Amino acid sequence: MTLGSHLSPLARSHIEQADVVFAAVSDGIVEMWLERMHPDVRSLQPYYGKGDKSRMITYREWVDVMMTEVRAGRRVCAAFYGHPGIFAWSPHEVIRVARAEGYPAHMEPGISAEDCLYADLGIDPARRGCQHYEASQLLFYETRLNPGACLVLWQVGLVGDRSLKRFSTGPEYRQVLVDVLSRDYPPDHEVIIYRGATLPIQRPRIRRVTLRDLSATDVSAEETVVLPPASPMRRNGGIMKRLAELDGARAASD
Amino acid sequence: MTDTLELLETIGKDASLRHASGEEMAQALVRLGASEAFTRAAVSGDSSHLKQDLGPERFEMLNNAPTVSQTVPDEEEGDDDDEPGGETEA
Repeated sequence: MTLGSHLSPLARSHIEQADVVFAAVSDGIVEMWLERMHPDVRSLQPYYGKGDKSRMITYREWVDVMMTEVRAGRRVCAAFYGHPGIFAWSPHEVIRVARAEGYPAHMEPGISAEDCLYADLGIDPARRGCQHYEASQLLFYETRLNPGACLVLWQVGLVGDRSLKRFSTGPEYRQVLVDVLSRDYPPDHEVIIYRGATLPIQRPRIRRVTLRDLSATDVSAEETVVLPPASPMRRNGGIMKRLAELDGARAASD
Repeated sequence: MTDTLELLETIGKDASLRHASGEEMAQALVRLGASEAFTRAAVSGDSSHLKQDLGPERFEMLNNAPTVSQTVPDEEEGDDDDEPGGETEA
């Protein structure tokens, strides 16, 4: 999301009306902007370790600190960058925990990197279909990709980090990802490396490389990788025939 | 001089400024009373020029924060004993 552009009136109202606001946002300046909206904004960023702490511990701590305030009877708002429910564990979890304990809780949608990506790269996910994966998931688990659809990979900058402690991994880890993707995509297939603008003075950063060059290309944690479709859609003759028969039967009965 | 965050918010919500050319932006920022540093940042798209207006210490502290997506590969659905997240070193 972009400062000044992408905060909905309702989300802003929630921030302004809360007793306490927790923040995990994309840019330090965005955090300062948030502080203008509420006198008690508490940053969640310091809970991250410096390579010595699993992010899973951090995200559980976030849930704990938010719930502590909820249990104290305060109106709590948590502002996460983009859409709070997309590639974010804690917002879903804290809502689940709050509801389980009998507190009302809900999520307001926001404009995520995914939404900005569709606009900036001119992709319509409905045209060929679109798959989204956390990049490490493709390495950790057997995953059947559809190269006829668009593929969006998140957190390629730290792909293969099993410790959940690091904020970047190197070219050798990206090479494993390239090897996995090479099962379905040719080595000269285009790969788009995208970063949305978080400040309104910025432009989106869009770089294009081939799949074979992805391992040697630095990718930061905030960048998202997109692989356009590699093969045409194949008409399903059997189903088309079946639908034609249904249409014919329907026409005959009219 | 207009406040940095106020200027950013103004640009962010103004259709004529959000996608303005460098020249148009520079002209608008003169009217808005932006600092030289802010104008450099806005025209170049390089936010590091904002450091001067926002205060170097605060700027560095905030911008050295991690910017990873706040998720981890799902631990619950896998059938493998060697789950990610349980390792001391990858």
